[in-house]
Amino acid sequence: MNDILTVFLNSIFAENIVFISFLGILLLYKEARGLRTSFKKGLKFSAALLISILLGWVLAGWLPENDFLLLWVFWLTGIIGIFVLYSWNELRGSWLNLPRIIIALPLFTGSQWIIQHQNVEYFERIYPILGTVIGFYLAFVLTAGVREQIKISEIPGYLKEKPLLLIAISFFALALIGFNFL
Amino acid sequence: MNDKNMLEKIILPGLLPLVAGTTSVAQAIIFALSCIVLVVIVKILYRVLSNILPQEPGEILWIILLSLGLSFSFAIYIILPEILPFTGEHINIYLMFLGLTPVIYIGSESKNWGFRLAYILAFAALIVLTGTVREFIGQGKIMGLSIIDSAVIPIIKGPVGGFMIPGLLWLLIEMVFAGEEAGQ
Amino acid sequence: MANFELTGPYIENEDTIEKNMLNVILAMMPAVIAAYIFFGPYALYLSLGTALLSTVIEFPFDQKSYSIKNPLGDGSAFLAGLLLGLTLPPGAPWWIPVLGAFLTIVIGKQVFGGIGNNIFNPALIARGILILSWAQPMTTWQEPFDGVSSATPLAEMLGETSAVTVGYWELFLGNVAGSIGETSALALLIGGLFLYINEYITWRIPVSYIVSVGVLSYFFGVDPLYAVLSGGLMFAAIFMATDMVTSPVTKDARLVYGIGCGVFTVLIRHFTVYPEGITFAILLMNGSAYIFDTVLEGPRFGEVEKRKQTFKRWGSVVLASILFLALTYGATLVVQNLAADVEEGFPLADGVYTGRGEGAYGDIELEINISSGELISIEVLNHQESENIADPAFETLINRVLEQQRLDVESVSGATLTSQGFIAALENALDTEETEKELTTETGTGGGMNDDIVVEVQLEGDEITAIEVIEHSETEDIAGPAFAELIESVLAAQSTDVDTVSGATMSSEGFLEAVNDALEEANYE
Repeated sequence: MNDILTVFLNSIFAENIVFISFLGILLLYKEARGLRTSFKKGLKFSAALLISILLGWVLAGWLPENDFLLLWVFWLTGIIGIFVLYSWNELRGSWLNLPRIIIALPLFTGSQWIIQHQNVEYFERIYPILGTVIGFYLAFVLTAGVREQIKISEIPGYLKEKPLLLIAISFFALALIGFNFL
Repeated sequence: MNDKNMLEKIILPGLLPLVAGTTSVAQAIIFALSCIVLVVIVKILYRVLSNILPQEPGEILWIILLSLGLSFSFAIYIILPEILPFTGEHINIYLMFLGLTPVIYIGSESKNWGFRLAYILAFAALIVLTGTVREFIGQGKIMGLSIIDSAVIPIIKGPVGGFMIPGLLWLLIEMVFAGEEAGQ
Repeated sequence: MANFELTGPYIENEDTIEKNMLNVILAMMPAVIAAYIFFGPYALYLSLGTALLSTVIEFPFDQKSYSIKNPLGDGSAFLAGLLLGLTLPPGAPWWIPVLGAFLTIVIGKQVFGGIGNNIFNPALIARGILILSWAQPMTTWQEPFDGVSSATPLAEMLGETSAVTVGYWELFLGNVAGSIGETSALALLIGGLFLYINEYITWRIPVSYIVSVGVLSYFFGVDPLYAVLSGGLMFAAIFMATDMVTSPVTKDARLVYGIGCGVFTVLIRHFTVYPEGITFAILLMNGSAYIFDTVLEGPRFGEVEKRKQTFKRWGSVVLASILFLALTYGATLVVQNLAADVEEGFPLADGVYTGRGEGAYGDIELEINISSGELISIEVLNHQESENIADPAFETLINRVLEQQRLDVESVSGATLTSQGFIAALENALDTEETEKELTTETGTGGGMNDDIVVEVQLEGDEITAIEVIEHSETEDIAGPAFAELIESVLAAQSTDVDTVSGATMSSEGFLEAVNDALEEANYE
């Protein structure tokens, strides 16, 4: 398979930013509720993530190879992406006395870090960037779907939705490991 | 805090280190100790910042606090393998991102140190328990020492185990609580 | 939990869960019998043993279903275990069914609340965990009847072994290596027909699954019939993908689900290390089944127009995204081609060059021949790769590079690191100029203490790589060690501007004169 296509497909599946790289899992817990609303909501979050990562990609191209500097840049671009979401009326309010934006930070910052450190040429990085965002959207929708399924199923009361969701996500991870394109 | 949701309030804010930092007991201990150190630093920083900033602390304070928290977790990520080389093989990038996880910041605004420490110790215990179970099932070891000849389910070492084991433990604890409530 | 008041009247169905399960188990019996015929009594342990173990493990979770009349409970555990058992290889060790049964029932089923509530197929959860954890025991294939280790027809089809040796008839009957219950298409079709006639399955999922695998395999240059009959596709399409709990309910959703299973199965088969993609493909589709049902549930009364509008809107978004991606990819290819066109040919002088690159297990060394700006031959001199993967890969890559006269050719599927090492070695070879790498040997003469000293100096490009004293008349005890020391110094300094050896000054000076003479002959600067 062509190298670029491999990188692109792997960043959606076998290196999915949520199900394999763990980032954004809390965000999905708090925001991926209700399948029908998740289609649009997921798009909003994905668009903001894309803006964030693209900004970080451009800036990283001008910076010297210094991890601390890169981390700060990605943190800033992550904050910018989150504030784009904030302007779209998402992540408003607080959670456990913390600003709700905190739930998105690991994804918005961490995904940029992971992409930056992949073994891909600078200009070809657009492919894993797009793949990461598509993979995030898929994870968002799949999680919302599974969550709704668990909610409406007739399970005994001692089986709680949230831990079951984590186990269901582990099965998604299991499935995606098989999609490791060479 | 309501007892019913207590477990959720411990697990959800610390979900990232719980799933990503529990491949082995050693890794879990590193993450747990780093969490405790960061919690103390963040709490002190919050006090300092809220005295410096003239207005009612708002988003600005949190953003500054988060950036400092991230810097400190990055520092731990870089320095720890230098001063303690044996920790190098157990550290992953998620140690760096600890400074972005809510579990470090919950209760920072409260003057009650006791509650804050109790909370993070409970989380630390949970993360170490997860690491123990994961290392045993995924590698047949505990703290690097072979307990059984081979792993029970090797795939538990990876992302599958990262989600499955915390999920199963969470479910188990919820079932125990539910059983106790029913008994009452 | 769903909790709402029901009102009548209702159409009562005589089917009970037990009857459903029993009929599906019955439909799998031809496959069990075929497994016994081809792979012997151990296959019965693997299949029925897993099923019985699953039944026992489920007992503590669902005691109400079990009784003297229903020793197998509602039969769902037995069925799940049987599904897993029939997908095991004939050489699977005894503990695999035990572990598999536990994973199927506890992790795959009971954790989600038991029958009807699991989102993913429990047997596939167990199988996925077993494959990824215990790859070697889960892939010990054997020939039917004689139990000799063998590659499966699927592996042969994917080119992992030397040649395809099995015919359609053998595939259809099941006289081939493979999982115990998956080899006999005949047995599976009998069971499938039974289920279809009794309306336990509809045609949509199995047919869309099988047809999409066939069509896609054709596009990848594989015989579609062979692709369908080999591996576990028939078994998966008839029994796994059609599981009532984990597959979609609506008609359109079933078609999409089947096609999705087929597409992903083929992609995994052809482009990943896993020769059989069924487990992962169906698991992903299981997780998506509810989404398909929601999106494709069909319009409610009075909502037809609204549905059409929504589809058009979303369809344009999806189409626009695909177009954008295709354009970006196309633009990249065009830019790459332009860049390649600008550098026509290989801008190096005619000659032979060697290069080294890092493969999967060590360095790959090759030799290339350039003539009139064109690469005319490539020979692999040395490598550490696995021969059965690397040799065909090298052949393919050499042909590609010579045909296209460029380096950025497609890697060989299943040999990515080897391909990358090969390309790196080519780049390394083309980086150097011929004169630098050319080996020259010159002799030189210098005046020693007693008579002339003749040396032979070997140069590789502009590097002095060896010096040998061919002739001298100096005192051996003194000159011998002196020459050795001088040779070392000259090679280290890459120049004759080195100290002479004390106690052998004249011999040293004679040696250095001889080396200088040789270097002058070679135009060394």
